[in-house]
Amino acid sequence: MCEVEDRLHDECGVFACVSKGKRPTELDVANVISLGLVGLQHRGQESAGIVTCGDSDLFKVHKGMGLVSNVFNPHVLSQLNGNSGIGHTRYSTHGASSIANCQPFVVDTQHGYIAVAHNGELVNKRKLRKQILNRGVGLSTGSDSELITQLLCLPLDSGEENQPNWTERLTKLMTRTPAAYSLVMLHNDVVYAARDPYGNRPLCVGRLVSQLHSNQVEDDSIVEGWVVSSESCVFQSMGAELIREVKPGEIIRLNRHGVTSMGTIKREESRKPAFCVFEYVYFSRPDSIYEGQMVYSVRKRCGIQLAKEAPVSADVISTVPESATPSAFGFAQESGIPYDEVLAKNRYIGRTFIQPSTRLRKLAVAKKFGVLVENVRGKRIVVVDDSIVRGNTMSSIVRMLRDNGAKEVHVRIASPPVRNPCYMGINIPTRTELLANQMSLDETREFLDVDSLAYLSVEGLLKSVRPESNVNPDKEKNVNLSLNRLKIVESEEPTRKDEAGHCVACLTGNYPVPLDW
Amino acid sequence: MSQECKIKDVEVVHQGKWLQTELITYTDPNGTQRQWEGLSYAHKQTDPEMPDSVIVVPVLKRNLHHNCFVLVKQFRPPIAACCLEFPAGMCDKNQESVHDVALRELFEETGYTGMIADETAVNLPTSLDPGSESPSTAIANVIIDGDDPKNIDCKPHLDEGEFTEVVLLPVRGLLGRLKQLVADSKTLLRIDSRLYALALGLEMGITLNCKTKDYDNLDTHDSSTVGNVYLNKK
Repeated sequence: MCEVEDRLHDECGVFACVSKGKRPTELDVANVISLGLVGLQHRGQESAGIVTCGDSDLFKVHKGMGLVSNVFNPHVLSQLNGNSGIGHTRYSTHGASSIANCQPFVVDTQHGYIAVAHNGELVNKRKLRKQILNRGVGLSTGSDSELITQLLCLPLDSGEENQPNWTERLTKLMTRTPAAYSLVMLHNDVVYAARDPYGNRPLCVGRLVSQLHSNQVEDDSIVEGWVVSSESCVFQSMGAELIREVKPGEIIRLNRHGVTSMGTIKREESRKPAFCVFEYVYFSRPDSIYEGQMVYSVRKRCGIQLAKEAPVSADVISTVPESATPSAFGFAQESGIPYDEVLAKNRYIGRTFIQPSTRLRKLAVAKKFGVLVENVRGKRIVVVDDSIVRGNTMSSIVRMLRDNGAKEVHVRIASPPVRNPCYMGINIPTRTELLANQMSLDETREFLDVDSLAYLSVEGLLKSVRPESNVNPDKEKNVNLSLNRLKIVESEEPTRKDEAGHCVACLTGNYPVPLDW
Repeated sequence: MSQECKIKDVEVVHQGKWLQTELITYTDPNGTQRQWEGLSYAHKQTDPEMPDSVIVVPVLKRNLHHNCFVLVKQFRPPIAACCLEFPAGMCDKNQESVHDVALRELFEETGYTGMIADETAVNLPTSLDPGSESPSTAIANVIIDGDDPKNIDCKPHLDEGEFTEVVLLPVRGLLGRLKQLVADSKTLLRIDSRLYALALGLEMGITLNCKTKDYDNLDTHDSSTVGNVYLNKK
């Protein structure tokens, strides 16, 4: 079985909310969480789940298959009323999907119930699973979430004297498995958020303020609660402001009194952090902010860099809607060739699995994209896309453009070719399925039937992701202006150049974490 | 033989500034003449269609927040204690409508600017305490847009001698919160009976399991949709 859309997968989104002050709270926590999940819907559409903690520390759970708006209606949300809660959206994986695998997971522990939701895959899951099973713990699913939850249940050697020490338990978990996870955990009405020491999956913290246009940001009384999210793009929809990202290895506690950093786990032997570069390339929403920069800006810089590395003479620069649009704009800006659209996208086509028949595959792409014929006929077109994995989508698009009279079709990809598997949770096809491994650049160009083909180099991608070395001062100013409007208060020092690190293992084969089977 | 009761005479026994005590002579259903002590406002409403006062039932709605009633608490000498009530006010002889009075009193006592929930609603005059007093009151449902800048950080506009405190209580679980307030109060706190009756009515609405809308539109508590309820041990 293969997918219509030629993409890397398996992100998942996590979200949490803790209301400030008195209990029961007037904040509609269940609705805030559902809003957060809707904003993270692009990270997963297979299923969604919310767990809240209400009066008397009663946990309420609701999980379901499908989109957030289908699983959570006002009636259900009303019953999920509580003071704090966590939520999760899950991406479709191959094979059977069932409610049993839906997060958040709820288990009873020595210290009462906990709920856990996470994004990512544990690099040493097989070893960990054996360890857990050897302790006599039974596992009911094959999921990492269950592993994580069981690890958090293990008692501490140092003892806890009736008061649970979740920071200590999380620390133990994080030392046992170095990557990759961003997780949120609920116990009573307290939320713990943790990011793996390599910072491979994104996670950030924000505060809910009672007024969107408040001038008195400093006034503590208008803060109504705190939120944690995989991406910062959701904050504006709920009147929240980004405080900062959770640092790699950091454990953060959110309760009714505020947000506290409980400590940071260090990486081994001064290794660099390894933030998944595909969050910038494709996964994240363009308005999310990482390392002090907008995802949109990074994609645009990739397009600019791509135009520098692989210029071409053409009549129009275009995009495969929609994630490649910023890169196409950047390419057009740098090359001086005008940007125009050549494809229309049907937004209502969900992700579907189809039989691997060439004809059906081609038809399926035609279901999703239509050609804007007048913009195509007789033109030399550059199509910019953010990545190629198997090449199915792009070859169909090129065929459609040629069938509609395109004089020349050039393809520019705003990322380097994907050659290697990912062990951090991104569902990459096997080495043999990856187009870049099957054929050389020239063979690929022939396979796609394009007049020229170029990928962004790894150096070019890293340069676009770390702008201090790259972008011109005016553009930097624009980035800062937009950050100001978002009021990033308490903004940390931007990550020092030598501290920044991105995982490009799928592109280079250099894995940030030693693989441990 | 049963007849209609008739008022024979009203004698003002004591004339105060705001209230007057009356001795009412009337005939009972058997025709027997009897007397009754009653209170009346010193300045009565002359228009028979208009109630003497208006009680405001204000619901504060804010984005991503549960709906709250806006209540006022003040010391009430006749009960020698504080009382938690709905905002209310007397209808002056000025040409104000019931709705005008409701919105004005709400603004003065709490600072909130509200809107009448249903302009076409008939505000039937009702009796406050018919065994003791004559004044009638209308009850007006008001919605407050809590996201409107006018209603953020607003303060009451009280006259000299008025000391009301604004209290917000969520619609959800109102009865429980009222009982808790009374229990937690260091000095005696009384709940106005109309407020308490509304809280009881809300609880009845829940248990009657009627057609659902969510709590922020007044809902039922059918918990069968949300599965898996876990109680943390203490």
